[in-house]
Amino acid sequence: MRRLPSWWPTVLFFAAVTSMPLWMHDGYVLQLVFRVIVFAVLGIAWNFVGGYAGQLSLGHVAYFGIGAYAMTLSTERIGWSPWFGVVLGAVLAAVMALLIGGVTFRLRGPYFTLSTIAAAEIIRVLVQNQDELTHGAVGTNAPLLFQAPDLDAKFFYGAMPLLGGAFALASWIHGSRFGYRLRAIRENENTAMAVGVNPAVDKLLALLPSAMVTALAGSIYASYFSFVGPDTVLTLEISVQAALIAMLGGAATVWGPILGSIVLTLTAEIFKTYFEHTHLVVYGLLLIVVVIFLPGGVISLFQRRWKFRREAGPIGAQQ
Amino acid sequence: MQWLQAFLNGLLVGGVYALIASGMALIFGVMRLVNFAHGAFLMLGTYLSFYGWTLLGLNPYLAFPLWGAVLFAVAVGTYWLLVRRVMGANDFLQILLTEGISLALIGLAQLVFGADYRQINLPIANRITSLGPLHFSVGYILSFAVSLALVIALQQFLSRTEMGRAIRAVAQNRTVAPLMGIRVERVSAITFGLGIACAGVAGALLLPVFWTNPTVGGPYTLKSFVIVVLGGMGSVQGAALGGLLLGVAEQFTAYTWADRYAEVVNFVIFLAVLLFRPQGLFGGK
Amino acid sequence: MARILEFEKVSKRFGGLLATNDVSFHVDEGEIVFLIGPNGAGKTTVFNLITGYVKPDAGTIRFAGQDITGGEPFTATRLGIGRTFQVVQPLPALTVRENVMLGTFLQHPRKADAAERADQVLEFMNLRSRADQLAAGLPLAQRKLLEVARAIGTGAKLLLLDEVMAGLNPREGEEVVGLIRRLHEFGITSVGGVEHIMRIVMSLASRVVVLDQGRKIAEGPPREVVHDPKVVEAYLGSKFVAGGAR
Repeated sequence: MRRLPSWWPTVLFFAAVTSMPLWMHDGYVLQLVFRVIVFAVLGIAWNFVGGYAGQLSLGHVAYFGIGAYAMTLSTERIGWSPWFGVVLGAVLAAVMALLIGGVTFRLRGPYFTLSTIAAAEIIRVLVQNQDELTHGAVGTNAPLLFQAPDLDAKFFYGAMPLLGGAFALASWIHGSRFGYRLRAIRENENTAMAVGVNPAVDKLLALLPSAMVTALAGSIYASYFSFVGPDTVLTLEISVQAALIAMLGGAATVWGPILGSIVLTLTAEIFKTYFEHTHLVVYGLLLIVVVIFLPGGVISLFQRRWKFRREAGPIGAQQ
Repeated sequence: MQWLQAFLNGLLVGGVYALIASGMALIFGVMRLVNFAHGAFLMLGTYLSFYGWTLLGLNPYLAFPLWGAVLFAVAVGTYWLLVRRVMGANDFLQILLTEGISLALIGLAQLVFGADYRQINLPIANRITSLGPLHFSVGYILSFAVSLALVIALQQFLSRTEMGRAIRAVAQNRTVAPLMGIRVERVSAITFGLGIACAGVAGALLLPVFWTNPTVGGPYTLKSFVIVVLGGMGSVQGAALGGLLLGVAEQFTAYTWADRYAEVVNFVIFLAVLLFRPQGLFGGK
Repeated sequence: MARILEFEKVSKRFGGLLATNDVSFHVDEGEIVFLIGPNGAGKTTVFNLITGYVKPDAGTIRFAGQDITGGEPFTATRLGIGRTFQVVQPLPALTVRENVMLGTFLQHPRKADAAERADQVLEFMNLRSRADQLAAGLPLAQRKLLEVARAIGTGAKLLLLDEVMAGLNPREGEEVVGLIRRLHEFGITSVGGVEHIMRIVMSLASRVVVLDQGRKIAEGPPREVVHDPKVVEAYLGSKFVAGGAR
């Protein structure tokens, strides 16, 4: 069992990153790191269901969008602070998770994946077509969670606790009985049942925090960019990103999604700067590279070097 | 009467769906591969057709065999380079690989062709023909006719030729087939090529009555899955019938409710079938 | 002696095939009962029915007096029925110890306790030296032992072993036989087994139940059952019946 990193490097890392607004004054860099953080959170959340429990969901954007829209629409309609909307978003996401999970978890393998895509797409189409309720395909402005000035810094300070919380949750799951049960489900559901695991219940238990954290990420993301629309917070692309980030970094590991987000976001950014319109190609090629050469994710490179025993082989070993 | 029109329109477009889904059913049935790149190859077919017409004056309804051959070759190449490495791996990796191929193809298309919508103006496709009070686009009729012919040809190929039998043998039992002298890798490559060619040709046939851009393929991937599940996993005949059925369902939805909800019908049918009749409408086991 | 398992008039149909046809038998505490019969007799189906992977169409199944008919597999495990699978199903990306811990977690919620208990079980099964290896890398014999270890770890009272000897060489088989005789050290009072290797059945079983095409055709101490003409016929065909089989 891979030991959790000893405290020092972790604390150092978080302290260094949190302090960035104090010593990094370049708005562009702060924005970039902010995006790395939000997508790391997304990847960590996805990992509960996708990495640990082995259920390849490509519909997580549903929860992302619910967080974004709940915050926006509740502020608009009810007039309360957008923070209320953020909490509401997480709650709604949990409810949605029970609904979607209840239906999709009955299916296995590719059928499950397809059904998660279907569920998210249904939500997107409905949102896109309910002009009166959701502003339809055009979208609308999302409220700011913080007041100017120093918005970049404030959003940064807002995102870090989210990352910290997600990280802590992931660390707990990783070492807990629950985490083992999830891994058993991932490896072989029949065997898992033979050791007393109830897969239906545990999958939902993994999906609940996954959905809620994803919703929080969606809220803060939408607020930062001051916009929600079906084409920005409900796309299949975001679902793929969530999975890609976790897998690229190392699924079923705590640091994996953080590494994955760093690699993915920076790579996409570099390409965007020098070659326009390449982010899809980048994602696609990265996916291909990971699957063929690094099924254990980037973190598997470090695991071998530091002689950590491999936590997990390629996602669900060969059949 | 409007119902009849919607029904017939549904059949016409369903014919093309049948072709696309037959390809998907073939790939899934034989290789057990969940091909998320199906729509992306369809998109390539549309662009081949587009540039074939605008640059070379090749009529899509005549040049489609050429496009089919090109995509067959591209698919076989893709198989040898990438896909065969995940044959037998768990479906997680297969899904991610094919999704990666899809994204890469779409991204390349954006770079090379640009993200704009493209359309062609094919006089024969734009004509409308009437049968009493019913009106049909000639283009749709042609696309339907060619698609149907190809679907039937595919089924004949599978049941009557030696390669077709080999393909069916591998679909039935992948482990035993080599004992009968069948080279499974080669069969897989050819199957992948055929399945993708179906998608590509369907794309080439759709272009005259539709439009294209790099992202046009996505909905068709999902649609094909819905149809394959509807028809019974891996059954090529089931996929053909399922395609027609879905086409009609979509037209009815568009007619009774609204165009834009026709998409949702796909997903609702999909979930309903998976939950209540997972073996498909025509599936056996 | 308490009756730990009651399998009463159970039937199960799969489409056109009646896999289990009104079968009744029981296992008392302390017994080692083997299900034998020609291929396709429905032996594994019986195990699947007991452990809930398959739900019966008719009949009752009771474990330690409690009705478990149609229950879920994880319930059966939690109540005290452990099982192995005919085709070994380890958790490949987890270590040997972690595999067993999944079982020991049931009785030892704290990770440290679960690990310690797992090590005890591994020691018993002679797998302790491989505790930190990934299950995927084990050779077949060790994977079978791991399967048994995992089932023992769950704290089972009744252990169902589905063709545990298949694929083992005679020396490995003898090792397993010895372990089965010592299972009571881990609180396992009773064993149910499906087996083809008669030598093993004869040496271990206190009682044998014979199935053929879904029906029970004989039951009793192994030496008696083996001479039962119905049993001989089922295995070898009717021309071998009269005149004494081996």
